[in-house]
Amino acid sequence: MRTYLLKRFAMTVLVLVLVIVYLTLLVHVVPGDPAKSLLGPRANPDLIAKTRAAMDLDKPVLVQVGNAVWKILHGSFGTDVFTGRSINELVGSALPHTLILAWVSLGLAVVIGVPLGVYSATHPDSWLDRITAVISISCITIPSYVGGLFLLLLFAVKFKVMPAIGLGEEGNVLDYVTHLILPAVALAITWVGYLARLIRASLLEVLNQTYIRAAMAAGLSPRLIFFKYALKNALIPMVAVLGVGIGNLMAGAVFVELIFSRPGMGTLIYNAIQGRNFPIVRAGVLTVAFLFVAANLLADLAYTYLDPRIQLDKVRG
Amino acid sequence: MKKETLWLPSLIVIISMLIAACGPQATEAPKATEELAEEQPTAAPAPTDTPEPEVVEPKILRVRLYSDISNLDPAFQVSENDSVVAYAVMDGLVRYCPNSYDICNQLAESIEQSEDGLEIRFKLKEGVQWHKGYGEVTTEDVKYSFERFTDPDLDAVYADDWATLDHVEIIDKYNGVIHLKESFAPLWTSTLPVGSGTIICKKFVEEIGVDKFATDIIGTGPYIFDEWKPGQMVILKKNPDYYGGEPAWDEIHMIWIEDDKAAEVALEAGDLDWTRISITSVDRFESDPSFLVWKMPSLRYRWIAMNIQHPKLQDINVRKAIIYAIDVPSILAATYLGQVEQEYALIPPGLIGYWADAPRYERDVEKAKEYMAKAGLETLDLRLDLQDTTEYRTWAEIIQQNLKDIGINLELNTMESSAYWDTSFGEQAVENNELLTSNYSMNPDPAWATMWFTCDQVTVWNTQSWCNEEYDELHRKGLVTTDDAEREKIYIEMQRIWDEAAQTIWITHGAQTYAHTPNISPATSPHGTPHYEFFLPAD
Repeated sequence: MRTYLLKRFAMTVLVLVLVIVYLTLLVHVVPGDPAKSLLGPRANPDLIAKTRAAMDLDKPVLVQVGNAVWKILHGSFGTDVFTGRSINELVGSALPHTLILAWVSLGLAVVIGVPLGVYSATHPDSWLDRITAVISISCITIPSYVGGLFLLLLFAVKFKVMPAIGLGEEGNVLDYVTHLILPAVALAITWVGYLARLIRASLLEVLNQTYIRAAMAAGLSPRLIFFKYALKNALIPMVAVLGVGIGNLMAGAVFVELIFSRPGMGTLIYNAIQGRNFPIVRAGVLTVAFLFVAANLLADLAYTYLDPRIQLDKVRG
Repeated sequence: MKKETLWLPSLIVIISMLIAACGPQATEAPKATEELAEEQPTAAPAPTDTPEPEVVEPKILRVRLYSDISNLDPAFQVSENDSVVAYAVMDGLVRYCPNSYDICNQLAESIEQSEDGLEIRFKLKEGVQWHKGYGEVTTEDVKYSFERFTDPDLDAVYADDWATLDHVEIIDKYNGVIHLKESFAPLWTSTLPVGSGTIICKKFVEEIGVDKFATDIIGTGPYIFDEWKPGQMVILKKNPDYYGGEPAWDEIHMIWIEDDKAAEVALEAGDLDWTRISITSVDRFESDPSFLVWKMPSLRYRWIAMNIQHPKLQDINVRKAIIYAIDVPSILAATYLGQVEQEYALIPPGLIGYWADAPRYERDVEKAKEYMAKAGLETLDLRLDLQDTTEYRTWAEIIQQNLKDIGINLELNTMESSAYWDTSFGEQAVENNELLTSNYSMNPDPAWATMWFTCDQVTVWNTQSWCNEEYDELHRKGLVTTDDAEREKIYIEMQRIWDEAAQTIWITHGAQTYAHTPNISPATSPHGTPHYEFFLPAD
């Protein structure tokens, strides 16, 4: 396990360095001068030159990459040249909101999607299974931004039972949770459908395995067979999907954060891209990339819990 | 490992929620201001046997910011967002009066310009206090506020606004004289009454430094800059010591909502009192009795530029053919749903130099064909560069069809915004540009519009690559002429010269459209910039 973790750590570092290189090259490929975009048309050439220097844009690409890596190794993303604020602070204030949104959405998707899938698998071809199938597929086809707008119009505008925008009053946990409900549901909708179909297919396959039949023949209780042997094994594909899915959730969070005007990584990166504020784009994307890699690692580790036969050292090493 | 796998996600959620909801904000105000706040005496605890006082809900105005604030320093405010926040907090010697281009005194008790236009003598109101205990406003602050624009080390974005400033003379604590090297007409229209005329606190800026002043300001205005939550909102609180009387609101919450449609939903949901709305939503809000619509003409001018240095467009007959072929009213109807007026010249109504009698070119296909024949052309391939927005795509599709009628095949070159600004301007544009959709914004002075089309701007912002020495000379004259009637003649003559060159199709100055709840009484500049310091609760 230790060897495996070391390899994964090395892989993570490599991925992050590649992301830095990619983003640095991107600045030179994408048209538009970041300094001019930030300062507006009336900025004088001296100020533009100073801003370019502050963003390292006047240096060769390799030096830019080196400087970025050096700063990050020292625990700093640098300073936003425009507001003078630490980029660590900007990311630090946005990240918790996105993490909450993503994890709560994921939780909602699991809490709703798994029971739906289980019911469908245990009652195949029943009319409730068919209704569940329709609901699940409908959920899969609804993009988070469409679901978000629909929820907003219904619950915030029409019935006025939910707040429309923001995070809620500072320090008020209940208000924070209230403001979280609609965005989290909007982000979870697709995953509810997806998980329900996935669990149904996976569980049906497991329930037809010979070891399940053998357990039934041995007279074990159906509850024990279902929860201990069937469901646990059926969840393994879900864990794999969720590991990769955290990246999709982050992407979906961009739209949801914009629609609900929630601060977060999505909003931070989106606005930085619009303003060509590349140091913030780099910090934001790097953070998301790190989370993505970490989520995949967690998913891999979860395999060993769910199925002790899987030995990561041997599989990967 | 198994427990870790299970608990880690839960821990992340719980810790994140605690950090996000309960933890200290990463964006607290700087220590200097906090420490001053702590020095305020605290109220004694209320006796337990007295009845609890009635809780009065604070009067909060909730308005929208279109993007996060970036720099509130008057020397560097790039976006309107920065300006509207700063206006509510910081005063000038003078400002535009609410909903008007008249000038009202703010910090100035009196202010007067000499006949030669080289001296502006002012007297400050006595006893006006800076927010957060930074003392009284004096001429020292005025001198610091204006002279810093000319400091080469500061590199102020708006250095041009004070380009003719020689120095500010301090006579005493309240009296001073602004000395100019030469008279400068826009001083009273686009310098003193707007951001560049803002008086800042020398002591405060020197204490916290220019970098921090970008996002932490004090002023003398009705509202105190209380807190900035990056990516979320700015909170202003009532200035109890405001020299102009008690401010109307206890707090103003300026909430960042990027998207127009999201802001409209927030207004309908009751989370906002005022927001800009898209022009396509005007009808919907006008027909809803729960809201009122506020529509003001904009100073942004929009046009199609013809690059007269491009070989295909050097013949004036080709350019006239294009002018007569394009159906601008159809563009306005399709793009703006009839909510805006057509423009016929550069300077918008209401400003010095508005040309009311500018020629109106209506679509006339036969006449356009005649000009094509005069140019010896039956067909022509042209390219129109445009930004990738719904607005410009709609323009482009109509123009493409219009020009087809006279044998011009128009290629539409749609570009992402930043690519457009990078490739369609500068030296390469003189050779490459053919037709270009464009729009510029301006401050309420005609010089702000004419300045981009002089000969020295041909490789910079002059989208037509058009150079006329008489126009340039008049532009220079307009800058130093202080008589309004004389300036009016100068700018109308400049537009006449421009029109003769037949290098522009004017589209519209557009409109600023807002919706608000009936419980507020808004105030904007005549060109639609909101001034939250003047917003009042409705009667």
